[in-house]
Amino acid sequence: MDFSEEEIYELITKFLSGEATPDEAMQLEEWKEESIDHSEFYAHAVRLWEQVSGDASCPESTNKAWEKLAGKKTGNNKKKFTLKVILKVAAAVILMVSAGALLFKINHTPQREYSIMLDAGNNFLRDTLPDNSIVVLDKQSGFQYGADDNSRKAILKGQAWFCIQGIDGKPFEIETRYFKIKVLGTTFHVSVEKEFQSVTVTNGAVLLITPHDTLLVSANQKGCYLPSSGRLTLYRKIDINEMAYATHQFYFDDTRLEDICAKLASVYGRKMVIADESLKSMRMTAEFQNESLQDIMVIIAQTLHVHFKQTNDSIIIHEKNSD
Amino acid sequence: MLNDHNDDRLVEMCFKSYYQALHRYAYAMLKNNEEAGDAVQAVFLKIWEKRIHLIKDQGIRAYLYTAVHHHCLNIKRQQRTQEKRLADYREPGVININQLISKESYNRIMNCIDQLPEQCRLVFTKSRFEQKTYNQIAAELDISVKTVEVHMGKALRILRLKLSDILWITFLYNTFTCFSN
Repeated sequence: MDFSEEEIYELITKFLSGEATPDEAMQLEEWKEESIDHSEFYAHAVRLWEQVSGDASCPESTNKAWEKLAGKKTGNNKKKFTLKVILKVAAAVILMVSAGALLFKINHTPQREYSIMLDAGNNFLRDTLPDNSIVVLDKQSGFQYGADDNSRKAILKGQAWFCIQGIDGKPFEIETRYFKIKVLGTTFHVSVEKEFQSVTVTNGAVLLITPHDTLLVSANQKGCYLPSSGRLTLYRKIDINEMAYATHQFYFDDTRLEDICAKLASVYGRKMVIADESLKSMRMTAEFQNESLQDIMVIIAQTLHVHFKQTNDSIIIHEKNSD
Repeated sequence: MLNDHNDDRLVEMCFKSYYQALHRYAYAMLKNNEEAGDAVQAVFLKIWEKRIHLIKDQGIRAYLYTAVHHHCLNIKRQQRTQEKRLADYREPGVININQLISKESYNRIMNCIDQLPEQCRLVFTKSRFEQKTYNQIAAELDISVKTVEVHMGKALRILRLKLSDILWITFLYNTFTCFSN
């Protein structure tokens, strides 16, 4: 989110004056979360504002506020309860009948089995599940899936991209090494890196659940789990190149040719060689949506005024006059 | 469709993810920590009790900000009506004493505000000390709301540059106050 210095001062004062629209308030939150510099800049401005105003925002802790809210809900429920005793008795009878039926059903429901097991080995693996959800496994990743009448469960080892079909009354849950992902009808990518595991959501929303924490991750957000701290953290910026192996969508923003080639090589499984050292630092901004590698190379060659040639297993990029 | 347990879980997740940010937003509008907390809680309580399905409209965050905004506007409307009634009985000239900083720092801030460019100072003082809205200021000074925004931003930028040295003192004070609550 790009704001000039003047614009951000105006946005902050508007927010602190209580004049910001919901959209502006969200824009400011997003801007703050983009970097530590931004959040410090904001904190600094707020401190000054508080000095002038003579009062300061000091919210109670989130957990304390949550307990208070949960208490209010319980209180309201009790009030309704005393007012509707007769209805409640009737409901209890129905509940007992339903519980009996449910108990019967549970006793007669076969235990879940993971009926589908996928192993990507040394290649990317794309598969469509019986519910029409799509899974693309990264290299060296494994996936198990099973479903019954009420749920769909999966176990993921490694990283994968998912496009899950929402089905009423049949939630989709994925267990990974560090957390459980409860899917709320969505497209997302689970990635495993050296230091952490993350889920990047491009559409819809997922809940990340660990034994100690939970996090809602919505579209264009990324939730990360850091094993060292055991915390889930939300980021409001995503990198679509992370999941390019599944989507073949790339976004390069003033990116070095060397880095572009490395990304393309990993996704398309072709060796890429930059023959001339000077070309490696050339930069390019481009967006590719499901193009073939050949087409992408033509665009790169035209944009950066370079040549490329293909051999059996590699693509070689060189200066125009060196053939 | 999500079942009740999942709905409860989702409300909890949303509350825990957005409470602090929504409180900041509500506080900016209401200038009262307790009322801001109550406003956020009221919005969530309504969601919870009316079983508003947050997932379906795919815009949880936008929905929450809009709901808090409307709730705070309602509260402010009620407060204005009450204040009008009380105004007849209140003694004039009550000064809000700034309790966050020393008298010396306060005087320095006021001095810096006095040195702001004329129109900028006028806009800033009407907003900060007379609690006027951007619309009211624009109407009074016969300027556009955008011009009010520009003056407010400019005032904060100038003050921030001139007063950066005393900001840390307040920061430490506020941190201490928050943690001791």
